Amino acid sequence: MAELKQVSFPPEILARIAPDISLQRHLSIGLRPNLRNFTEFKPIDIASNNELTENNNNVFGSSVIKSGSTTVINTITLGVVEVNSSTKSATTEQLGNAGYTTVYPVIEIARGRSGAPTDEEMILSQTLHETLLHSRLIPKASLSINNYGAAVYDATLSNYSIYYPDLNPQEFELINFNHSKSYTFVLLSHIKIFSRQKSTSALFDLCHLSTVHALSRLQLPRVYISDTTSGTKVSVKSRSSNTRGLVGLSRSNINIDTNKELFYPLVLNNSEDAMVDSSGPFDHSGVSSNFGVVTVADADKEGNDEEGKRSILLADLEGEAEESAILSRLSIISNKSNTIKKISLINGDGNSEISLDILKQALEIAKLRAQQM
Amino acid sequence: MSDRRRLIGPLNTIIPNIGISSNATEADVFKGPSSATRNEDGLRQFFLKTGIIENANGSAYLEVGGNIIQVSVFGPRPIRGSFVDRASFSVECKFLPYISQPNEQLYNNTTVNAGSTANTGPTNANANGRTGLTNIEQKISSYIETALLPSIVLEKYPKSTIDIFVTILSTESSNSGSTKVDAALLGISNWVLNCSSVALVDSGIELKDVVTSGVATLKNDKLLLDPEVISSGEDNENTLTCVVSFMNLRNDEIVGFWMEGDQSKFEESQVEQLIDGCNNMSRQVRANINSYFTSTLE
Repeated sequence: MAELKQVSFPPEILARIAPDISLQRHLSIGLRPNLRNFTEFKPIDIASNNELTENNNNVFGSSVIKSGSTTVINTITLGVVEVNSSTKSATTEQLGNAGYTTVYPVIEIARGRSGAPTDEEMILSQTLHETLLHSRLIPKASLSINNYGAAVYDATLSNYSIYYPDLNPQEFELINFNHSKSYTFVLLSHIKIFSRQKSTSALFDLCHLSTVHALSRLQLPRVYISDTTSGTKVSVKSRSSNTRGLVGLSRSNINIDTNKELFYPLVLNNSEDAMVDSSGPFDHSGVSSNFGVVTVADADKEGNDEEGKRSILLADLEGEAEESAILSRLSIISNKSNTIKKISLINGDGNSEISLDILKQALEIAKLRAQQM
Repeated sequence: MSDRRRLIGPLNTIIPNIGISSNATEADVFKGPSSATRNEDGLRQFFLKTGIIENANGSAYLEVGGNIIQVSVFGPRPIRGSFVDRASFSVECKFLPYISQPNEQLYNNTTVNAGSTANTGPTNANANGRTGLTNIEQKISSYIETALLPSIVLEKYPKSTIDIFVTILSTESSNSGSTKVDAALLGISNWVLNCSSVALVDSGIELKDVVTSGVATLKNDKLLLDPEVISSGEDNENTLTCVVSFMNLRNDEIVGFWMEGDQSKFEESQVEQLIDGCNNMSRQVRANINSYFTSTLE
């Protein structure tokens, strides 16, 4: 009978076909597959320039961050929604979470497929959406549109002029302006992730950080209502479809004033701390950190008894082996004043449960990281 | 019906028009990137880098003027189902949703805002919720696919797919208001093609030759290579713009040809002139790509 030969694989193939074995072997000699220390986070670079906002006049806040090769491009565009004027009177304190609003993120992870969003993209978007709401970062009041202007066509100069009730009170009084609806901005964010190397929870950290960063740099424009009668509606057969399109008819007469001098920054909750200063823009919003828990058998102690095993806390999960072999995970958002904004625990692995000691350790690290960010 | 897979905001969200500026003095100033430095051969300098996307088989990143293009190649990947003796090849080119696409008023059926002069706002549709490709994206994708297909040795990869994903991160026409010029659309297609070729080489997929391409404009009988969109007042009158792709080391074989412009009174000699111009540019680009790859070997 032919003898079975031992097969050996190079590390990168072992990590793919047997991620748990690969991870155990690394950890038992005190190494992570990505060569970081157990509680070391991967460094994050935040782009300091504001090119995306400056080069696209429908983008009002943006952020580009990089961690290793993983790149996150976050842009915030604006929508406008009509509000019921009856709900306006209550103050933010009375309303609890209802006095705050959030961002509507659409996350796309580039991974060589097209079609509907993956579960991961949907989970990340939804978590980010809810986390920002519950961290009470954006008061509804700071997004409401006050004193919107009116565009008036000047026949002698053949151009439009915009008048605001607060900036041009005299001219504004002369305009026959009947528009009593009230509006508020909606923050629409698009997050594109290239070169996904990190685990889902680590991607959440990056998305959260980039959204907070983009929000802290967000500049809101003034809004004016244009004269609806000025648009000429011409029915033109479009090239692409058989339906007749109406050229010159815009679906809304709400316009954004591109005058950058009138832009004003978004007021975040506890804005004195939250705005960008030397200590960074992350104070009130907090910094998200993620951890995984895994049990390893020490290499020097033979046998499978309880003594030879210990649970290890790993920070910022990255790479194939860690992602598929570590199922017990923690995600913590802490801010500079040591307030915990979010804790999420997933005890996915019966052998490596999240003990109280581990939780304490993770909380300490998350707080320390928020302090130093 | 609302999209239940994406968070695209409350149902009654209106996307406002990007209007005019209340500050009259800055209204007509073009705020896009300044015109790029041109070399002696008349081409703009470009920045090229490969291999920055780690979860793809090959990738390339290219910046030229205000255009930023990123291409990832995935493949050969196995396909399910019955055996096929050669690889299938597909290209998907997408603009990031907030970027206004060149010539979109013409092809994408977007509306022109009534109260605003600068038509820089793309649409009143929420771009975040867009599924599928726009007409312009489809045009570019199918051009790239047609031009690259002859260069790939598909027989080497049975029962597999090779997919190219192009993401356009920025265009130079996005803020100029000059989105009606053919040079904007053909210019970006040209650079997407060059970038995709480089990404294919980076992926290690067997190729017959590296396809490169050139773009040229003939305006009032004056030939301009690699045109860029600078002023917002440009139009397509008396202008022919053409992008031609070549396999320069296989006897300058033409693998892709796309011409736009005022074609009512054009002559054969003009087309010849354009093709020669594109070929010159293509050779220059090819020389640059070659020297890039030799420099990465060191």
